[in-house]
Amino acid sequence: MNALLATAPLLLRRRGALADILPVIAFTAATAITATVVGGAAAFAARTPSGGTPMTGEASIMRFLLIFAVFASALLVPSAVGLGGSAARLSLARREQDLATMRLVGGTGGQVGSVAVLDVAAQSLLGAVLGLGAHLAVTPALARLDFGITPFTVAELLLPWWVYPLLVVALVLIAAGSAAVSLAGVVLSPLGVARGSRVVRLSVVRLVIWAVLIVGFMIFMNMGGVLLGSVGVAIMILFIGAIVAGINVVGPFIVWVTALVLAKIAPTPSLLVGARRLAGDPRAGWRAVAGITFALVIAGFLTIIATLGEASSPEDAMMFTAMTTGGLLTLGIAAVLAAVSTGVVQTARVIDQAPRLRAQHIAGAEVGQLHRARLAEIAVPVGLSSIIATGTALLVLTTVFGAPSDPMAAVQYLASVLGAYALVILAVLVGSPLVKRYAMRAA
Amino acid sequence: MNTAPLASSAPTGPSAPTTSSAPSAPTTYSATTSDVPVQPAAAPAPVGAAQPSALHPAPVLSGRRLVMTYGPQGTATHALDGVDLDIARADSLAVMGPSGCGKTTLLHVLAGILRPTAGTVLHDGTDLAALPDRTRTRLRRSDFGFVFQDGQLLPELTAVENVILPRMLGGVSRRTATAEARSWLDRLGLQGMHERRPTQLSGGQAQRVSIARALAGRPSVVFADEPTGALDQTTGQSVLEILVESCRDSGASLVMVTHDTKVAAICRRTVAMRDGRIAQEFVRPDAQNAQATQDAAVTR
Repeated sequence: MNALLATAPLLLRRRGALADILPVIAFTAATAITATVVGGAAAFAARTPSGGTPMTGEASIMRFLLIFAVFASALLVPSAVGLGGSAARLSLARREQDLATMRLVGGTGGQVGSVAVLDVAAQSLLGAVLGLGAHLAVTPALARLDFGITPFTVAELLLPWWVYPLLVVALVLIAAGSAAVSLAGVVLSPLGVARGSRVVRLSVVRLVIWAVLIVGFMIFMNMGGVLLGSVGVAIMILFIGAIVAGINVVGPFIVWVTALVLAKIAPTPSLLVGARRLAGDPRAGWRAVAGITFALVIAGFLTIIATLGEASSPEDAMMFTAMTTGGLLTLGIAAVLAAVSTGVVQTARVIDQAPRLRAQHIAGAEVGQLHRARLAEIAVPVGLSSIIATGTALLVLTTVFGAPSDPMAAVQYLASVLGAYALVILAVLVGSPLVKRYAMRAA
Repeated sequence: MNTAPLASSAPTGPSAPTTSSAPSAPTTYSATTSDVPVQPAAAPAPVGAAQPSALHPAPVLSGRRLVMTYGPQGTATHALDGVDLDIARADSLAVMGPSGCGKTTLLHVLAGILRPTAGTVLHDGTDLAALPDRTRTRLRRSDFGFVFQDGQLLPELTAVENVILPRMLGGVSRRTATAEARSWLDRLGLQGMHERRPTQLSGGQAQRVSIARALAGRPSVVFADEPTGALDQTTGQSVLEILVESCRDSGASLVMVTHDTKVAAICRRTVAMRDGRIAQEFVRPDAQNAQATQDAAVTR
């Protein structure tokens, strides 16, 4: 093992700046977002009184604000951690040829697998440290935000020092674990890395679970569940959280079914290729837009705040400001998450597909047609996620507050949707120069 | 752009009749997983087939004084060093030579993938070397077909979708392209495998899909770069026979790069390259190609 570890740096050669830096960028973003979001939620928790004494003013609304902070964290942290897992798989996929070479020169499957996981762990460690740096760098700016309550200090928004090493260790373990799980699905042989060629099938149970949650939520609300007081509100928030989290369960299924139908009827080659790629790996297609979906759901919730009208008391005014700022902050973080996720995943796909891009160009596919196939691949899940997110936000909105009366709410939401589309196009464009370079590269 | 003597009406699958005087039936292939070709009991009339007698003295491709240099001056490598080569219509040409002799570069230059440092590549009177990349790309799509060593099929697409893709890129409707593609796949012995993914096909079957993809657009020239390099000998031989016969039946010229003399022997002409130049040329005047030998313009 020692000999193999000694030769590993030679064999796990670097493949060029961009290919190596992509997983590190993803780990950095995942760490920075996780630390910042958890730090923010902890700041709200520290301000929340323990109860018993009658509360007035700011203290009286802190419990509600804490619930919303925890809710925002529940939306963002799994996505950020999921980005870390994606980055680990990405890093591993990049190394497949090197791993086969290591097997060829005498490494056993276990040895090579260990080296691969350690390689991912090293990248995630670098990303986690950089991510903590980014978290420390942005926190002073976050302290300037107006939440309508006494401003947070930088010290309040930072986590206790001992949490940071734990966070780094947790993220590295998650990355290494994702890599190990990913390796379990491949055969590392001296002649190459063979993946199972199974045809992807997703179960309709995903759709049923989500539908049951929605129906349960509507029944609960119609039966006046919120009248049960704080327990009722807690159940309502749990329902909303489960429905929003369930988007990630139902999303890949809807993408899969839609992609299969589109592939059958696609009138253009770009849509045919894009739809087939999605049908082949609907989970990856969905992961690329999961962050955007959450951003759109959050944008939908912001429209609720916009319809609440004038504040009738100082507490209401504080609540309004806190929710607006918190909502926008959550939206902004989700947007960054979405941009990094889409950009990293799409750019990685271009690098992975370099030989095929070259072959397609040789056989007569113009660079513009190659770009359009990539856009189709991302546009289908983005379109679906917009519909799912809008539907979810509208469902919660009308069930909890009734139909929105302010037309500006619709305008604000539409702007968010367009913003999300612009973000996706930008993220896809990041990889565009690579498409041209690989397609036209001399053999 | 396609000037091969073929039917032009769509759909133009391999069984679209264009002549009643062609002398031999095109080969069809077994639908089993075996890659061994079989003759049909009652083959349809030879269809759309430019027989060897249709060889025309005017070359379909003509390279003149081709030079290709890589690297900066002083330490430059001459991959091509003044190559002259004509390719007759419906002819088959093998380009041989050791690694680094320039054979793949020659194929890429003739196909308009690379622009030569100097020299001309004439195709139907047009100098490919003078065309911008976009025009050359379209010309490759409409006039040329390609068969790569590892097939280069898109793994997410089914066999039939891989075949229709270049046709759809060229503006052909999906319905028309699919009808043509199914016809080609059946002809190449892939009945019942149209909806399979490349990973669900054997190496030989996948390479047959590549051949169907290359020929579905009725190209005037098919370029093949080590098309059997990833196959075992038996499978490789049957794939080669399918490739050569399909090109001949379609009236397409075949330019094949290989380092294997057995592979090269299946082509009517062979040129051997060394240090960026054509060192030797052979013509195989067997019975099947006797007429072709008579008519072909072997000009260098």
